[in-house]
Amino acid sequence: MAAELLPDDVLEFILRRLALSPRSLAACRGVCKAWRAIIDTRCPPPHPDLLPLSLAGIFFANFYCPIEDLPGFFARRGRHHRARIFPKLNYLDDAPISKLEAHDHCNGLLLLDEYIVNPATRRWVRLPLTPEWSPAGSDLEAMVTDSSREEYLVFDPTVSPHYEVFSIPELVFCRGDDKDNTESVVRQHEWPPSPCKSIRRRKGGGRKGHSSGKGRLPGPLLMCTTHLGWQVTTSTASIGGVHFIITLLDDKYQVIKSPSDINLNNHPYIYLGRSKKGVCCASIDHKQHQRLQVWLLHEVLHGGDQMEWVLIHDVSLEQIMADFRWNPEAVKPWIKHNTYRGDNKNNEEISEDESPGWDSEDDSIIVYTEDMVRWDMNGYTCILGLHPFREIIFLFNSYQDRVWAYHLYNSKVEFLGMLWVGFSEEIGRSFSYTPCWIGDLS
Amino acid sequence: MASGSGAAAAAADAEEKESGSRMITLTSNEGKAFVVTEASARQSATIRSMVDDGGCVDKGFPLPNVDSKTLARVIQYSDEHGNKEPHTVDERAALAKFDRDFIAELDADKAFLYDVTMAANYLHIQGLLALTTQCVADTIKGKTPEEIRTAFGIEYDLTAQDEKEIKEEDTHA
Repeated sequence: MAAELLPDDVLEFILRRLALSPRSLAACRGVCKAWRAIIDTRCPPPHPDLLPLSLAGIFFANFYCPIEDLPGFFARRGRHHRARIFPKLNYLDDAPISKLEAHDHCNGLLLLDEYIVNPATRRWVRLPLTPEWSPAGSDLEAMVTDSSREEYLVFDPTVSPHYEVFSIPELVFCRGDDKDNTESVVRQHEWPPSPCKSIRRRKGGGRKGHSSGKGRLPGPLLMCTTHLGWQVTTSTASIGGVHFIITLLDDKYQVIKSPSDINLNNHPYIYLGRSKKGVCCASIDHKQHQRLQVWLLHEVLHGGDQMEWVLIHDVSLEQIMADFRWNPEAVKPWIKHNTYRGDNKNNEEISEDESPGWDSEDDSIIVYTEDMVRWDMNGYTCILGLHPFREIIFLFNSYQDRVWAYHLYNSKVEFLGMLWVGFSEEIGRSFSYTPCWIGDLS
Repeated sequence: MASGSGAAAAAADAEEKESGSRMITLTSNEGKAFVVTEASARQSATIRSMVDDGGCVDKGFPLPNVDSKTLARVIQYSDEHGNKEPHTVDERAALAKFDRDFIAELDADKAFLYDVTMAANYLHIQGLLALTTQCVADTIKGKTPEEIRTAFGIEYDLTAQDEKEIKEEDTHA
């Protein structure tokens, strides 16, 4: 039989063995369409950044989209030669779609319901189930009406090959007549509770389907937010506002309150992430003309014992976008990529348009031309992500389905593309994805 | 270890011995049966998981994707790797030599090499798959696209536009 009958997965094994000889890989790209497609979609790029040093796109979870729990991937269209990413999760053995909801991302690893996936290397492991925490038996029992949990991932390949998964219970308290008493009882429960457990897993130490412990923080937590090794994610607290928990990799924990000047009564959209300058908290207050504020976490004393938020940006997005002109017919450089395992190809993904499109390295100022029109800001704007290596914030408007980039240091605005996430006002969670090409998970 | 568990350990030992000496029948797509030791069969992750899931060890395993000639060669590999565990330096060197000879022989007959590669993939025999895919990759190294097409009998189907893109992308790589 001829080699052209080798199935794709076998060809992939063969071509991956050429990763260290870029010249051979380049020759293989010129052999035929099938080989080129395999190299472009399944093999590591010839000179990848092994460490998560570049932004490949944004993974997001659709909270309210009834059709899919799959994480979405929004990134530049076409083949990105430097960071070939395979957002399609078809290599996860028989995983039901309901188990693929994205919970967190950290330095190239994606935490799904029951899996940790490295989309760059397409390595994955299944995580064991974590026992539910229950308030039964504690003095909070009578006050807790519901509990759920949030899971977070910590991984920093520059520090350690291990990753950690934290499971943090989130409690919903009844707010009856005795609200003050509830608050005082709840406040007595300090965070993080002791002992704080999380189990480290060595990359490569876990086997598929192998059961080993997943970290669980026992005890009542009001909050929510973490991300670690100097990365952060967020959700909201039930009492006392939002708390951000920064956890250092050496097992020290620190609770940091949200910036005191966020007006939580207005229910702003809050996002925590890493930017070029460090850990940032960004918020959009829709009741104040879409006021965008960005704070940088500043170390007051060396050693990280004392932190404070420093406001580094404060603008009205309505004002910024009122001055912006764009051309709706122009190329939409970013698209939503298909992550579904099926073969139903995303029409946009295979479109002939292979223009490299938006390049975050390009600092030139856009020149407005006559065919450009007003943006017409409308509806609810949320934050899709922070560029980890630039001073850029990615914004999303679900009413208009538009995503754009806003440069913090020169207030430049660039349109990226259209994104439809279902009939919801905001996106569930979203993570700036930085591919990591090192390490085996299985 | 607690004193009471000695008997249990002995029983486990006996069981292990028994399972190690179990024979397993693999049937090629031509219906030819090959009887191999369980240790040899366990080189295949596919068969291993079927055995561990309490599969029908007695009935044997039909392998509809593998022909007799290929299966015989795959078994040659898994016998060598499964039936004896190399402990000494000499034994390890002997196994490495076996691998070299094994692949050199396959390399001479490319069509057969691909068949064995596909069987290793289907049966999930990691060591054999690594060996054969590396051999195929080595054939590619240093060749031009045209030479690769000739070597692999691949039809040229790239458009001028494709060629242009490839050229551009490579200069940026």
